[in-house]
Amino acid sequence: MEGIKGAIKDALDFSDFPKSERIGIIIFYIYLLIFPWVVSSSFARAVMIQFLLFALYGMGWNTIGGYGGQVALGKAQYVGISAYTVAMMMILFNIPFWVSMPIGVFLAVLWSFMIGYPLFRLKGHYFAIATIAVSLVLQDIFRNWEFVGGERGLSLPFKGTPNFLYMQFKSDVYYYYFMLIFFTLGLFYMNWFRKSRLGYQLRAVKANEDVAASLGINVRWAKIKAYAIASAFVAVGGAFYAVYHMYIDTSSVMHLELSILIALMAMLGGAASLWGPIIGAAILVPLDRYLGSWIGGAKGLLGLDLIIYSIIIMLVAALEPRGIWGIVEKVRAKRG
Amino acid sequence: MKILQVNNLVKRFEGVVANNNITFSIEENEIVGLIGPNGAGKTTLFNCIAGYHKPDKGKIFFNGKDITGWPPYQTNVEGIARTFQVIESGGDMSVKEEIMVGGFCRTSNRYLAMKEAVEIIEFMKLQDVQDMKLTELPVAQQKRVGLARALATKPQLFMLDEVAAGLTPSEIEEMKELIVNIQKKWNLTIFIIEHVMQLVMGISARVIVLDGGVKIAEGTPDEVAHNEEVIKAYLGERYAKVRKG
Repeated sequence: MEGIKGAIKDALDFSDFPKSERIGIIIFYIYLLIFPWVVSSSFARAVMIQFLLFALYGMGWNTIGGYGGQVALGKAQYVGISAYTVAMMMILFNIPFWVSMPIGVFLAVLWSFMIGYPLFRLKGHYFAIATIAVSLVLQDIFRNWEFVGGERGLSLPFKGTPNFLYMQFKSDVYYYYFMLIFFTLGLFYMNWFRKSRLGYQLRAVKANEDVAASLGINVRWAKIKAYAIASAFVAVGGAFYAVYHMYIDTSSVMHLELSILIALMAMLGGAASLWGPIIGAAILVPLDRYLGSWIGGAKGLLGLDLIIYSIIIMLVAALEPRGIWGIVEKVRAKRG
Repeated sequence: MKILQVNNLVKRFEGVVANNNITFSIEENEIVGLIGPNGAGKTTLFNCIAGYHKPDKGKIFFNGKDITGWPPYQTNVEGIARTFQVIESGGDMSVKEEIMVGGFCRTSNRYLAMKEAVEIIEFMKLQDVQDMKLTELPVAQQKRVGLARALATKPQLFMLDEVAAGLTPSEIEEMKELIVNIQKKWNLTIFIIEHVMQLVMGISARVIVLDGGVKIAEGTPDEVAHNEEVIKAYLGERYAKVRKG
């Protein structure tokens, strides 16, 4: 019991951030709470839902990629596994979201153990490439697998009336608030995680694996655990994606671009920091959506968003590898 | 009681025999030195005991338990802690956080790990630098952090790999005192690789000498210092002959 109490206390405790930052965070959160009442444009709401979703993805990636320093670039496969689980279970057996989501998350975590166990024999770039490879193979399997819709993808059956069990609503406000709940729970979890034993141990692993092992850390097992946590996070997001869009195919939930975007958001905002993935998502998601709708569609400018991503990657790598949050911390340190 | 027993240990690297048939033991609460010229196989021996290398032959017993070939984290959990010659950077962690990582070896409770870290920080007199990063510290302080984080894992056998390298003579004296104090405070057994004779000869009850992967001598610092084989290893054959007259 003591342990659980301490964990909840840690999850809710943000006191290690300076007061000015805490006030900023509260204002931002209040804005998130009242957002649908302030902005009624459905496009803006969709962007905001996607922001929350990607922030959740990014927080998950941050466990293994940020704190653990293992650049995993196959996170989309876990989004996909859980999205497909939710969709298939509803299509075949009419199973509600709240039952199929935990199953989808469970399957994603199970798969992450099966992948993580052999993959964490590899280090550095080799690990990153291997995660891409596995993810690509899985995407190809799903694309050619008629049972799960193959190329056509899967459309979730429409229930007709708004239905909480199947997460089907008339207004996107409901989706927004459900996503906000997932986001908030994810944020509290990460706030606990960064102070937990595994959080500390992962940072030690990232710094130096030999030293970490000399401090009683089972390096490979610590990585596998963090990889599983990251997979669980993106799997929750994937399940939500399926019921929110009501249509999935391999290019929307399993594509390499999604994996890279997840990692990029956390890195841009600041890997291994609590707010990094949120900042990254807050910048990249609107950029992606508005660019996509304004310029990306115009003739000859297709792919401009990709160019902008690559410029961002180069800027982050050259100027401040710790991302935007790294700049914030530098300013904070200068002030005293 | 014997805390560590090494029997006929052999470690080869692609034809080079780094440790050849080494046998020795360490008693509880002893401070034992391990000396020898560069390339004698001292660090290899440490790595075999702590699990960083798998010995090709031979057995290692810790508290009577066969730990031959165990991975490093397991030997650490069992009660062996080691430091490294070069104290590696701790990434983005502060000194206090690094020491807490050591504490997390025995507990998953952050408050306990923190409490232990604070105790060790006070003992090691690292209060002033506890919020700084390892890379920002001078060498002598880095070595102290290296000791502190390993101590936080609550070892029984503490293996120090060249803690005095790169220190000034006065810092070496401080380090000497510190090691003796650590031994007393936590009742540890200490096994220490050292090139700085001022330190290792001053605090060791016994000294083991390696040369070319072979154990060539063992005894009190005084015995070892007058051992012909040892003089030969350090100063060359000619000097040994001259000395003999």
